[in-house]
Amino acid sequence: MKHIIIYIPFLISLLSGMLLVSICTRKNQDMSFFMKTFLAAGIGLGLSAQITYLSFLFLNQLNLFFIMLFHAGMLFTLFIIKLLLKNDSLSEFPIKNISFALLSGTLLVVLFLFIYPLWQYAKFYPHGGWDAWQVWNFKAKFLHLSGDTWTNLFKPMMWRTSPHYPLLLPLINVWGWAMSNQPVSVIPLATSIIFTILTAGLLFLGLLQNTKSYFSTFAPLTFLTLPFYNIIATSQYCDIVLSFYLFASLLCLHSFLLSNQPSYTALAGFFIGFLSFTKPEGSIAAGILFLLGGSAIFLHSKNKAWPQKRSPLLVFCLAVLATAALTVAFQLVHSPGNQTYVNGLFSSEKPVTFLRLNIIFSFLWRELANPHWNKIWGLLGVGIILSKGRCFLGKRAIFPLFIFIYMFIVTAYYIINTNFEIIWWLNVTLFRIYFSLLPVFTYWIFESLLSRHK
Amino acid sequence: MPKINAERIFKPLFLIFNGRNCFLILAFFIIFTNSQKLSKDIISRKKIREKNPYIFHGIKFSGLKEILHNAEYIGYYTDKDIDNTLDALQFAQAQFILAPIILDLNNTEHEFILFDCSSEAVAMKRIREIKAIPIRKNQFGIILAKNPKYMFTNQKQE
Repeated sequence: MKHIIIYIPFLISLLSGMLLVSICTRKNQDMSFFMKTFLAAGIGLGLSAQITYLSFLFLNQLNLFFIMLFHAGMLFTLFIIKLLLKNDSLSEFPIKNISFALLSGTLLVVLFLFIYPLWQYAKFYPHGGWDAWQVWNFKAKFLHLSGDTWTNLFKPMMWRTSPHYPLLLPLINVWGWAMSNQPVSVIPLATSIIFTILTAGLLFLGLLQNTKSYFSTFAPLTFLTLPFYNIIATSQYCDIVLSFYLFASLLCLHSFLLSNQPSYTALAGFFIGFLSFTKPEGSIAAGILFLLGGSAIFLHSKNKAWPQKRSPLLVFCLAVLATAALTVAFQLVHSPGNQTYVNGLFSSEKPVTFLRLNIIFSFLWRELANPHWNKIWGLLGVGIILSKGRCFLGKRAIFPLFIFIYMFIVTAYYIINTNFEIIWWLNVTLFRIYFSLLPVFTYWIFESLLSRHK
Repeated sequence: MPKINAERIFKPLFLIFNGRNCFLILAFFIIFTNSQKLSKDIISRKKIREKNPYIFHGIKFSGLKEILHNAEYIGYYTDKDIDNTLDALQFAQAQFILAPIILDLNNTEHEFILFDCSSEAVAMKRIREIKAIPIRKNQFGIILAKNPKYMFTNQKQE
């Protein structure tokens, strides 16, 4: 019983997310019950982490009573809003087509069977990889135990723990410890498995919704069966969290462009805000998505009448503002700034060299061909060729545009920041960049090939 | 001689082996090979854990918190090269286990100093140099010492 009780915070998050998603998508009849649930879990966990951060921001310490009270107030408010909007409701987590729901449910169960291998990988190192407990789990433990001295986390002497990194993952884990009242290692482990299943499940459900093809099951299986992917996903790093919020943001934007349902813009906005609080790369990705998504929504709605033209963009901007506000607060109030940055363009001690450029560009390709990916990037490359250009056209252009801009900025950062020895730095970080992009890439290629939309 | 209609023969083949289906066949092949690797990898990992149960090496720093109860910072003295991955790992493990106490690397001015040296002799030499008083030593050679400046005070440090 005690084992179940410690997961109650995650169930509260799921409930909050479900209420918020059901309110946002009340006029959206296309979205399945499963899809809403998977999106709701991500939104709920993001909200809970942000509420936990509010406790530190306003009360200068972890105050579980405040956090629980805030959750109770939020649940009550969302419930009342849902009741008031009930007459307006066209769909209540609909299961309209029973055979479709049963089949997609069965395929989801197949995906859930992967909890076993994930569990096996996760418990091999129950404290996670060493970066996990040096950075993420250390921060979570520190936030949980430090009382009003929690800002010591941002002291210069803590540079090894990257104090400028945003705190979404540690805060999810701190919230997860609300019932155990001590930093038990099973919660970060469970968080990593939850986000892996959410990513894989959302990839399947998003593809199923937008392509109506049951071959969508293949997409998450390509990487869920990959040992290297499982190792990174369950190592308790923040990359799986970043990967989930990045993919969810792009999926919602793409679904809006396909279905024209404004509810997707609200969800995309929420996800982009949470994405910005994951890691510095997440903040960059969120910035790109905000500009790219905003432009796509504006262009998509430009020929429509006034309310339809303005409201999706307005809802999108408000949703981003609501969830990214705490990232801005973190950057302004707490983040000590990046202490591991040397601008190689102006540094005489560590200048940018031609050799450095050469190493970076060769690594970008070499990592894709690394045997630990077991040719998965080759498969996706072949998919680009077989799509005969479909993957670059129309509403899917948002994917290659995002990937190109994101990789351009990441590469520029590798070139300009000469603080680290480049071969070591690429060896320990580049695979994570590709790891977090993998679900986005997989969705893009599978959707181009399975979809009937041109 | 009957005329062979090549288009009639090959058209169904082109329909079957279109871009989409070729991609799905390749994807199936990747999933199949991945699954084999995955199952082999899981079996080997289970065997490894049966032989060598998981030990978190940071455990060598546990049991100090009852002595360090009010400390915000303590010194962490080492003669090892902290840029070396294994030594950096040891420092990170100590920091993780002792959180929320912050370890101040090679600063011996704090009330408590943790000595994690390449040998006990090196640690004791340094302890004598700074006239610290060893108060706890464990089987892993980790020594906790108290700075004599704080011997008769209980003041909280910054």
